[in-house]
Amino acid sequence: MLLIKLAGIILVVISSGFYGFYHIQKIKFHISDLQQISDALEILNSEIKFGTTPLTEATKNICRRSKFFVKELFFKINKLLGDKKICASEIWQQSINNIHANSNKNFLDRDDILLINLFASVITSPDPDLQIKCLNKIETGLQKKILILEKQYQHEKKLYYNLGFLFGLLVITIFI
Amino acid sequence: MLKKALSDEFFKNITEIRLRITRPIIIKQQKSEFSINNNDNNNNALTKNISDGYIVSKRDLDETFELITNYSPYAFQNEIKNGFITVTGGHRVGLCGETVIQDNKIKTIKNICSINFRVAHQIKNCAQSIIKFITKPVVSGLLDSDKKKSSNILNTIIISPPNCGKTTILRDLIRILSDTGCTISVIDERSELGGCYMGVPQNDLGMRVDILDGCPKALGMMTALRSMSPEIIAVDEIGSIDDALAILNISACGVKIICTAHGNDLEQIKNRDAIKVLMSKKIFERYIFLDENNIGTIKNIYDYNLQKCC
Repeated sequence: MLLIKLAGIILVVISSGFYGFYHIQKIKFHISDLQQISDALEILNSEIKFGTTPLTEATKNICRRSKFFVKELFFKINKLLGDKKICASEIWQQSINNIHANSNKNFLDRDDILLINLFASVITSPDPDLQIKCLNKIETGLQKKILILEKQYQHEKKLYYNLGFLFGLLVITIFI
Repeated sequence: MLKKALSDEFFKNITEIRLRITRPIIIKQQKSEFSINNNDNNNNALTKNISDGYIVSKRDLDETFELITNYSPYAFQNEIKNGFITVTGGHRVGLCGETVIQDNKIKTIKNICSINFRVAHQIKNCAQSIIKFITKPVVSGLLDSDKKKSSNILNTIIISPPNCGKTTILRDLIRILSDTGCTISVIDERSELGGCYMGVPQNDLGMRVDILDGCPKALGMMTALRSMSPEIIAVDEIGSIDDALAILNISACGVKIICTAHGNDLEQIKNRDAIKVLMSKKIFERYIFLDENNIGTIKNIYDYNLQKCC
């Protein structure tokens, strides 16, 4: 009986501790996702600014150089551009919104999606300066968000680690 | 929609397709105009009554523009500045809309309100009858000659008003001469000769042609002279003093020139500064005038002394 109680105590402490760890790691994953999308947009920016590479080629290049959900995102954009069935702004919006729908694969939130979707309004503008400025704005926005999240991570890291463990102890104390 | 409405035979004869915002779509053939019937019951049949035609919306124009530019108008900045884009097949798409001006120059065109598809038609062998007039009479046939092929070619200018076939004849001349052994550099400022799309010529200009696409004529002639060691330089629609100076330079270097210019008759072109300079230096050995009433046919040919030779 004591052995079962002991196993239960350990299980509760580990799982609550792990929850605290996961909660804080979510911020880390969010930062990583934002960094990945920011890097991809930076490549797109360079492709437009220096290479004047057509979107179909540019998205293919980004797809080749990215990982995980960003690779999937630009693969989808590239495929839809190739299909030529809907306009480019719809393709961009549809694909970006789809990331949010597949939230099990990434940690981006609604605000990030709204920010990235800004590019949809200028995607087929004949003035490249407008596109470059818009991409710069999005990248700056993403970097600001990364900074905020990093601060939050540093600030809450100890709190959530301890909070998870202490919550486990609380549960044990109540039940004992 | 167009694919449904047009048979292959009909499509072959199309010269232009015009899309104008809130106006009916117009499909032009050599001597007639059609539109796509707006009535759904007619299954998009063609109509000669243009006012019954399908009305082009802003969305139609925007989507057409996106497709023409492959969703990437920024990749066609220089072309858009000049008011046209060349698409696969060498067809030219003219654009009109709201111009954005920077430093007194067109930066770009936005809010596209008119799109004009000019369907490219390469007519092979249309210049066959001209060859004998632009080669030296001592040579019986270019292919039989043991001499350097280009040395038999005379500096030639083809002159006519717009839409009389100058460019089509020049394009075919280039193809014939190139296939007979002459190395030709083509300065294709407006992508009309080669119809290059993404660097790939869409028209057949023969086996020995180097195309400098989208390059200003005067600059292009000098660049080609230095870099491609051409025997002949071909250029469409000369007109500026810079063009004339470049032609003087290249002819002094022993390179032959074949070009076109706008004009009606000898008297008229004598008043054009650039051509006057070239005439005074007797650069051109053949002046070929095309008939404005009969597209692609020769009206008169003059030699370097402006004596009629045909």
